[in-house]
Amino acid sequence: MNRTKPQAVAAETYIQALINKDSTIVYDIYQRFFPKTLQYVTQNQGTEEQAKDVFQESLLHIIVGSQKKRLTIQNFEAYLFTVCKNMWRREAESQKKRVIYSEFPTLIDKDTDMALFALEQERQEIYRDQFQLLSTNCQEILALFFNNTSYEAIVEELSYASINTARQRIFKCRNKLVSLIKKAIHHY
Amino acid sequence: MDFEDTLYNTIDAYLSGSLSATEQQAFEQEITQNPEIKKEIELYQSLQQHLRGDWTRLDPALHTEELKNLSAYRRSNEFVDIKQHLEQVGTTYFEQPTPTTKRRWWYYAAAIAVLVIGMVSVQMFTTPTTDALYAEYATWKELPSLTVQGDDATTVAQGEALFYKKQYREAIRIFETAQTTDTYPTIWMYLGASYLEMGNTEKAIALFQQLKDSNTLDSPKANWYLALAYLKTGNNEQSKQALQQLISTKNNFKQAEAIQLLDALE
Repeated sequence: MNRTKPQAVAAETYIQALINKDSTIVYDIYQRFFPKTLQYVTQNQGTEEQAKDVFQESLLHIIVGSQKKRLTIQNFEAYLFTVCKNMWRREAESQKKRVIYSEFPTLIDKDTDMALFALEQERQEIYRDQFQLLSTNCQEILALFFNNTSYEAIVEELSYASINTARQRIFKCRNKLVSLIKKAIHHY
Repeated sequence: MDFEDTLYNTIDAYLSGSLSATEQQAFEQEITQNPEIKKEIELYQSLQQHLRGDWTRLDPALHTEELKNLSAYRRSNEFVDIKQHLEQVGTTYFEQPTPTTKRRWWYYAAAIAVLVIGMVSVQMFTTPTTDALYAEYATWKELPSLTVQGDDATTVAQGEALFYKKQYREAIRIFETAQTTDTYPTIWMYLGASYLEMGNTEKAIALFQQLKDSNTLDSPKANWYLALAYLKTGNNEQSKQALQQLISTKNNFKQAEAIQLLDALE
């Protein structure tokens, strides 16, 4: 980019423009932010059409979040792009594999699916934030454990005395994380 | 609600598939009787997905209330208005050729001007033509999705995708094959809508009539589609008849729109 960096517009300005149907600013949103989403989606096995859909749905996600949930955004561009990426990732994953829950309704309409996306996105933010509250040691050992690292390898990597000590440590860390998460979910 | 540590171990073993067949059966029995366990499993499973770098999946059956509230908002007039405006501006943006840096401001100004003129003229004509009425009411947003959760690869789902991409010819080919093996009335709606959008009103009317006579749950909706089809042919009288029939049925489908459209046609 050879032009000077545009000033960061407050997230609230964009959200209000979407809600108040301000064509000038909404056009500006497309112009500033769509190319990045287009690039991401098309580089990850998506089409331009799918990129458009993901971009628009992500903006709608932000509206729903700000109107119906307590969504606060620090940086509009960064948040929008994260949501676009997540939405496309989710879409690509579900194209690959069928979800295994037995009680899944076979047909789910777009509005409900996007509402489910909103809950999943929110849940993911909770997991991320609460994980950050753990000690570095807990974070390390849980990351290894959840990525299917064997106890033997964990013992070696983090210099534990025995498999049993590592096992206990994992158990403690995970319980701590789960209780933090439950508290946070309760808060929402 | 807190569970004993043994339960967590069982959940672990269950998720990693290391329970014996009998244990698994017993545990699944327990799950069906205890919704709290289901929530625990969902939490563990989704947390695991998150820490592995996968998407955090939630089970819609455990969040029915929240999902109902959120999708109700998404269907509200307020939200639909915002969405339509967003898409309208998007259409203007996407239809512009990629401008060079020098010309960018000019395209930008022109795009806004076109949009503003478009919006003003829509509001200025108090008596819209039947074409405009058709364009306003034939949004097809109400068509039930044919996409099966987590699977966009089915034939009818491809048809649906093509339909929304306005590739009606390809969509018709898929739906025509699908309806012989699967007489789901939804497919008639898509097929009829595709023909109608292509301008083949005769075929569209035949399909909607078939839907109307099918004696399925979706039969009453046929009057709405027939009204749109007659509107497209310019046959306002028959369109009005279909709308009146729709309004007289005890069915909530498109009631408000039908009354508005009937009003506009009177």
